[in-house]
Amino acid sequence: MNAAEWGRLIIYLGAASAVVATVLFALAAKQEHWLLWARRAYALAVFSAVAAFGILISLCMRSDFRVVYVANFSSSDLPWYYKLSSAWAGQEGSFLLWAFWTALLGLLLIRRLKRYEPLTMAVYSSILAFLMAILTKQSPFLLYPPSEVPPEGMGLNPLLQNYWMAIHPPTIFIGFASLAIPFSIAVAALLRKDWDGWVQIAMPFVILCWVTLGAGLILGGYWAYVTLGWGGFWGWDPVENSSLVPWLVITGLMHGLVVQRNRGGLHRSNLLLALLGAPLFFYGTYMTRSGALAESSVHAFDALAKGALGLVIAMLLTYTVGGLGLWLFRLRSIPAKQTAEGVLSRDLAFSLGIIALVVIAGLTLIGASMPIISLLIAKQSSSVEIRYYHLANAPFAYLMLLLLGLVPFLSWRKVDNTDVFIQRISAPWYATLVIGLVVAFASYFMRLPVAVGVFFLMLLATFTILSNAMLVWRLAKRSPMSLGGYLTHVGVGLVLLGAAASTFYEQKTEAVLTNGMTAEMFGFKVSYAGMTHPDEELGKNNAVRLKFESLKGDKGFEARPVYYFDTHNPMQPRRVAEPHIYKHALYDMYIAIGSDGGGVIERMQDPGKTLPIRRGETKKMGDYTIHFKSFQIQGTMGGADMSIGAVLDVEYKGKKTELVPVAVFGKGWKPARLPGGGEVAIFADEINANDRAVILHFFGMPGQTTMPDHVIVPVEVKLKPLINLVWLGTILMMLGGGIAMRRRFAELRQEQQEPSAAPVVVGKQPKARTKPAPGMTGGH
Amino acid sequence: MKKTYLFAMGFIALGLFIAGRAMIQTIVPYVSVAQARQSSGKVQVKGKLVPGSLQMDAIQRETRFTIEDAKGDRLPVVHPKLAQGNVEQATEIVAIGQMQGDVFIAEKILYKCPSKYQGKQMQEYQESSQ
Repeated sequence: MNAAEWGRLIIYLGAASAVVATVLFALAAKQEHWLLWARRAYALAVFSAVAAFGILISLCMRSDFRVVYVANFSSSDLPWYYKLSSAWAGQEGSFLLWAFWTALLGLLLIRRLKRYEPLTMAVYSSILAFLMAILTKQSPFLLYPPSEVPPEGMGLNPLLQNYWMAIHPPTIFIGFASLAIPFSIAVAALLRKDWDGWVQIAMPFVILCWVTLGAGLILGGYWAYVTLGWGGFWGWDPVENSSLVPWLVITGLMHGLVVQRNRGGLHRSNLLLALLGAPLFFYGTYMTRSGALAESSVHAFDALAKGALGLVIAMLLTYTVGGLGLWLFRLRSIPAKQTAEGVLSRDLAFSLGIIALVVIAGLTLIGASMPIISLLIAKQSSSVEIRYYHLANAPFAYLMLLLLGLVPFLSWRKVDNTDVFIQRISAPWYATLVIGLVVAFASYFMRLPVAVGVFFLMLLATFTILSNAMLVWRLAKRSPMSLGGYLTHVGVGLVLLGAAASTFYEQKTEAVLTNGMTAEMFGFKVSYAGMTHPDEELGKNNAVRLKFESLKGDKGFEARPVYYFDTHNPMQPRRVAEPHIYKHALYDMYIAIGSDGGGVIERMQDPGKTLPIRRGETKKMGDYTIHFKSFQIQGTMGGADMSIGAVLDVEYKGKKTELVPVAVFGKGWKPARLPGGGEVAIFADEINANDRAVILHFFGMPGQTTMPDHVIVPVEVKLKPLINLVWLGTILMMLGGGIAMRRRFAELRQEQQEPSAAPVVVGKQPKARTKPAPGMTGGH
Repeated sequence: MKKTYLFAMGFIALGLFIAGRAMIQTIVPYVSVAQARQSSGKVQVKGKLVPGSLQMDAIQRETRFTIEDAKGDRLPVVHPKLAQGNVEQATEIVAIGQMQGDVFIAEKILYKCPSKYQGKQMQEYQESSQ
């Protein structure tokens, strides 16, 4: 038996042991002696998922083309890191990656669950069981019949041959896998009717999920920006949306848990949000991998095999109906406690913020599902334009940003002294207004509704940044572990400010360059300086050399946007283009061949220069002065042999010559040689007998081109102001998330070590938290 | 507190109203060639690329081609920029835009190329937009 056959077997073993673990954990909830065997079964499932993934990686690394998956996504000439990446480049591999992380995260989870272990792990194992079952139907270990084994693999899609491919999928799949954790804990909480105890366990894992999913989204956006040449970092593509929606819901849950821990409210909505995350991603998986959205997505996903798709649907229905059903069933016994006492309170701000996040998630989900919804309702499939997401989400994004800016100045329950509050917020407000005026002035040149919208967005983002940054500054000395949230909020403000500036204030110029021709773009003189590897036109790693010389006397640079043909399949060379990004502190110059990074370099016939001229006229063309004297007709009128010549007096550098370019009907043309090089020609279909006019075509005139082959390079340069704020903001967000996660894991460890203090967390808050001093309220 | 909640509800209702309007404004239906010729607004038409009809004009920066839908109706399309990727190998094209006279002006095109990278029946969409 070879490795692939072992792999298939191990997948079955994993599916079976995950099912067994589910049953045994469920039994252990009633009779504790089952727990040991349940853990053993789960350990076997983990072993299977890890071993199967290990086998797939080794098959990819060894280029074993007997395996269909390896032959489809890898080839022997790839370097080792792309062979490794091909393990998750395909449908089957990415499901296995998902199962792999799910299994491993379970090991981290199980140590922290304590009394929650049996029920939580029963639910969690069942999700792993589903994933392994899908892999039995859509196996990465299928073998070719011995006679059909291809000698070489098809290789990895050149767009995926990028180090991001080694980083982005493994990261984002940790996020997808960890969505199952809050779901499982919430189900256990509902079954146990324990409305508060689950929060402390779930908290650090929810932040883990938020950080990994967020990091995955950011890495994906950065990847799209620097290499895929979409021209932006976010395209509201169905695949992106299907990860964004659960992430927004998890963001809401994270904040809800903070409220519940500190104030003892939001029991119902927290359980609901915890139950929504995973099913939303299952839905996204169904949407993007069922072929239902094939027409509106640019992400390459093939429809799943029927059996596997059936299981995805079963998984979606089981957890949606099961989770929501249980929640509804228990709804009346879940406490509903009103905690806010004043309009100006953290309690209310958090609640509104969570609502804003959930509504944004919902509107995005509706937009992404439109092809399916419209087909069901109107029997005609429709999709929405990207504008929809901006327009629909804007009011809620404003609300969210306003709250983010206010939160550092709010205290729980209510703000005691409104005057002090007003005084506190004044400094950042004034600064914000000044910046706002500058933005308003810049908006003057834009269409009004967009300008107003963007203006407000940038204003509120600035407010958020300033007020949270002030608090971070103060907390940095006093209690650095508690600044995670505020640091993240500074990041959110920066991301939205940078996104608004770089999207709506983007400037674009296009030019067509040939040899010897230059264009002026954003204060640079741009010229084409050949290819980096001119000898191997189709060769890999070829790039276009574009010289940028500053017109202001600053330093110039050479842009090298990648442009080559992937000739893995010689019958079908595939154009590969990547933009070149010139970084400046205040902006990026996004330099692409053609539009959106994927245009064509044409090697074409010299299109020449044209000059329409009437009989008797005298015109100038370059260094030539041309007088059109008369027509010269030969052969029978209308006959097959008829030809028309145009008698021209051409003056070049003081010398006169008579030239007669001739068009022969039905046959072609005889050009006349120009003095000084080049030719002039006329074409039969362009002779206008009524106007007695012809069009003269000049080819290869002196100074016109110097290249034997006339390369035409369409160049597009986009100036994206303040885009670096986006990257800075994402770094702060992840840093803040990381700090918060460390803190909550430390808290959980500590609380589990002192069991007496652990069960009731709600009442355990120091008095200081209700005081309106920002530095003191920072602990949440 | 009651007032606050009313205010919040009002804000959410207004937001949802705006979202609903945004949906109506930005929805673009998939139609056949015959329906596209009758249409006045923005639509998306899916069809096969008629072999030999593709012209890429680097000077005008235009892509021109004809698509044929499932019923066999043909529609000339002008995409006012050079399409990226390998349109010439496209088996299926989705053009998004509107009619201008007899020609369909596509502000965005999506096209599916047979991808050798992902097995036989697997295909891949690429996008080009203004």
